[in-house]
Amino acid sequence: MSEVIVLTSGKGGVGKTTSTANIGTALSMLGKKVVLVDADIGLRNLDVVMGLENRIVYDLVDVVEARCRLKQALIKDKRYEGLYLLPAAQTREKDAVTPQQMKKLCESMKGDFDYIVVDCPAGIEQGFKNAIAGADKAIVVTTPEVSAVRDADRIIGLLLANQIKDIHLVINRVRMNMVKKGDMMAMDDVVEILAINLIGVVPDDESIVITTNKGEPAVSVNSSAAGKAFNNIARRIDGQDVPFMDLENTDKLMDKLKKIFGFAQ
Amino acid sequence: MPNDNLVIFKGEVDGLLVMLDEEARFEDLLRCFIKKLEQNKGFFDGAKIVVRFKGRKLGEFEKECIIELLATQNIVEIVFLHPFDDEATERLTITPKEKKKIVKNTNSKAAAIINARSKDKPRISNTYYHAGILRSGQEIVQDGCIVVMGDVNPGAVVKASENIIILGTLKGRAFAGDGNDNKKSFIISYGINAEQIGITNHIVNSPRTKMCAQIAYIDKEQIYIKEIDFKSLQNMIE
Repeated sequence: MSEVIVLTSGKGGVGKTTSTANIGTALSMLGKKVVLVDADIGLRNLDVVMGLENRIVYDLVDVVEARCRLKQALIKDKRYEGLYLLPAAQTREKDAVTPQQMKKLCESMKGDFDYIVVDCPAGIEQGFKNAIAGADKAIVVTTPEVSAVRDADRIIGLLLANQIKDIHLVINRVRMNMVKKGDMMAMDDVVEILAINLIGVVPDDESIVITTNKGEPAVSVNSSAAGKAFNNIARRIDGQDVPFMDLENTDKLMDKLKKIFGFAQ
Repeated sequence: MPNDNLVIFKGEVDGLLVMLDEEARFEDLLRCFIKKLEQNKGFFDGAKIVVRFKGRKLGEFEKECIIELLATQNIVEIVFLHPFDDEATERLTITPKEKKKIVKNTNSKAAAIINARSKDKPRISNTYYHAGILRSGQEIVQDGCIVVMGDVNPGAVVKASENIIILGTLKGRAFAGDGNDNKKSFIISYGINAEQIGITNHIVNSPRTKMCAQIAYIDKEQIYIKEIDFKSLQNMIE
């Protein structure tokens, strides 16, 4: 049973690409066969985050325009068993692909992979329409900022309008000490506005910057808090019941998270 | 000038008996009925009564006219209407051709009377129901009322030519009485923390209010947001 998951946010810079790389890698570490699809044509960077940029020969547009076979464009990540990347074209624009073509491409990969994880570009234009065309499930990434939450709300509306009902929420870059002081939106507030199932909370972590620059996903580094959070998200996508991480050792917060989890059920 | 005695009000044990003249034209009858009601406005004064019509065989359209008239008048509150008395009268024996002519004649005039009365106080409006959250970027525009069964999130817009009722929190924008001058328009929501609210051509920023059932209405060119209680509802009805 394979699934097409699109990671989207509306607003740029909230961590879609980082989340795609990490969740995809974590799923492959669970023994799944995963392909990461970069739908950000013209501004590709999933390959850089994965550290695979110098292995690109063919890209997504070449496959769609039948200049190569799908197998030729897929880049196998040698570090992880069963992890592949389908890079975007850098020299083309978003309108090089139509939603129909994208849907067909996703369908054609369903037989070979357990999870097809699509990295959606920022915005709600052509690129977004392409990215969600073949999706069965969506993960909306947001940060606890009003602007990001507003855009996420808009995106959820558009996803629902496009008949994608299975939508989950990842809150990225949470700084627990700021939330505690009341300087940052609390998770409850975000969930209350967006009213969708919370699948993960990722703390703000410096190690993400380091691993991203190195081109190796944070989930491979066990000590990283963000890496653990992404691992948990992957396990939840896989259907496991993983309790929410204790971002801070206070009972009050634990209760809060439990409440969120209860709400999410 | 129609005869005043086309309609006779009679007190009964359980309510009011309205005797309708058998011979008169239907539109004269209606006009007379309205006149009588208005003359006795002081007598009825918001009373709740049971009504029975008698004395005339009424066609389906005529029955509907009377029911609509009762629904649109605001003199007396009808709590129960007895089924129309279908006692056969001599007038029943008119030929179909003749009957058609009469009905056609009365239809337009009677309808005109009904319309004239209902214009100053419309009781019927189109309502749009939205189930679920209204999210950023989504907009509902309706000529009539809007009921949203869910929150209205920041960035969402609700525009109605009449009233807006939100069974959730209003965090976006809501405009009631949009595009007209209906000062009776209102917005009801469970907590009004809107970006903007507008009633007729007035637009304001709403203050952050506590979470409770609230109503926004207009009074003397000023928009008020208040907790819904008996008093505010009473003000609204007036």
